[in-house]
Amino acid sequence: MRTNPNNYISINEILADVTVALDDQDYRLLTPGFYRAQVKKALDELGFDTFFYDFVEDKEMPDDLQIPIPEGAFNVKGIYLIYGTPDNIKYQENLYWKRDFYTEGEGKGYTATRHHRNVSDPFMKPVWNNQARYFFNIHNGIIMLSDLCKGYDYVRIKASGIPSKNIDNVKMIPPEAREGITLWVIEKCASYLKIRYKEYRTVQLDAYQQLDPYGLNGAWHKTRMRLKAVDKKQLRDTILYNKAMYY
Amino acid sequence: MKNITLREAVYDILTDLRQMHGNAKITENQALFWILATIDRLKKQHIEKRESGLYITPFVVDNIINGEFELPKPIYDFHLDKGVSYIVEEGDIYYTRVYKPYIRRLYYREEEKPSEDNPYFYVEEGKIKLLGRSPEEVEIGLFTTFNPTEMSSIDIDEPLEFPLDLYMIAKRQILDLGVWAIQTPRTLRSDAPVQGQPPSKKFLSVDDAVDLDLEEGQVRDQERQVRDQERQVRDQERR
Repeated sequence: MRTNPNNYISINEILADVTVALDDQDYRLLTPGFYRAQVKKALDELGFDTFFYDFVEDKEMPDDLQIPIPEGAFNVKGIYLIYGTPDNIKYQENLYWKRDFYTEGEGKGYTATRHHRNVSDPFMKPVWNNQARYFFNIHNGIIMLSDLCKGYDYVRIKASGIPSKNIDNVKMIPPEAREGITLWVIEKCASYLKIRYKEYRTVQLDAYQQLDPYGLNGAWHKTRMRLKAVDKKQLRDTILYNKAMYY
Repeated sequence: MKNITLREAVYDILTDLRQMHGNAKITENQALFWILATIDRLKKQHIEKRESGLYITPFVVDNIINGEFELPKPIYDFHLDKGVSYIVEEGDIYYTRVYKPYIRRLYYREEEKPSEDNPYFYVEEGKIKLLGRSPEEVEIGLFTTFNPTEMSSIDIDEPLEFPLDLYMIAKRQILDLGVWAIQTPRTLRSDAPVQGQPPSKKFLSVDDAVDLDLEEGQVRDQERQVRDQERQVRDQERR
């Protein structure tokens, strides 16, 4: 499901429920900032589980052909080379991943599991007609590009975004996730409070049972399924393409 | 809020005590002190038991210097500084209470750092200290005490800020206190026998000697003992 940021709700709407559930409406037990941080943590957990937040960034082609993964991004989904500018793309090239590819930069050669000059290798034979000469690998957070990429102007990186680092602070909760996030925060905060107030142990257990974060019978699983679900239009078109064998 | 006044309570208590102990020398101030001390405790317990705004007293504070100000009145020392019910600034900016030793942790995370949008307060030695903002004026809601140590500033004809339904319990406790004080034997009075030495006895009785259940001879013996002690003190001073 593609969430619609226009429908997003504010953190305060979550806190309105959470503080009542924890009997802390005057924020004496935990500070408002503490609650807000827990909401962001819940949102990020959902982001890591479902990749519901998409991230796109265009970078100018660097001289050394090495690009750090942009801040706030994880799980790179696609890399495209752009000829022209991001708002006037004249040509694009798909970039493909090459296993164990490592380079120090343009013109410095490279190593990889299957190197195009390594003809003596008895197992990893070079593929001479390999069209994917535009390739990359990611090494410790650095996207390394092959020499041929140099001829392009921009690199477009498509990735999953860490929600709390990208979404506007005012409205950042997809309504589809409201129930899951509310229970997640209640459970987490109650677990922090139980060391001093033992009655919160009961609150935590109740919330945990409804949330069931590692099982399939709770709000967390329901939320994940909602966010992972494909849009109806997308599903219908995919079925149509499959039927016509046309991609 | 209509309620009984302190003056009515004082005379109510005195009337009852004097009916039991006609010769007891209990002043109005003494009774007033007992009443204030007793209803103060009962009011504290009452507020702790229920969530009621009836006894929150709002004050507007405008003498804030370097982000701190004196508490306008003494407050109850409730858990989590709940004696300070709220602090709010114009524009609905609420201050969050924090315990001073915990302040350091607030700076570990961006969301909790004290700031213009996220201000805090803490209580320290009868003062309120603010973090994150330095306003010119705030409104503060307090659960104030009766403070029997400042009786001179109390208007005894003002309606009492005390639940009337607890008055009978308060009266019972005050009468118990009064009767106990009256019946404290005179031999326990604080009468240091020798100057320069600490008192050997703990209590000072407010009773009149004839009101005690003592035989006349015993009273005379006690008075003679006191006179002897006083004479010894004078002799020592002379030497």
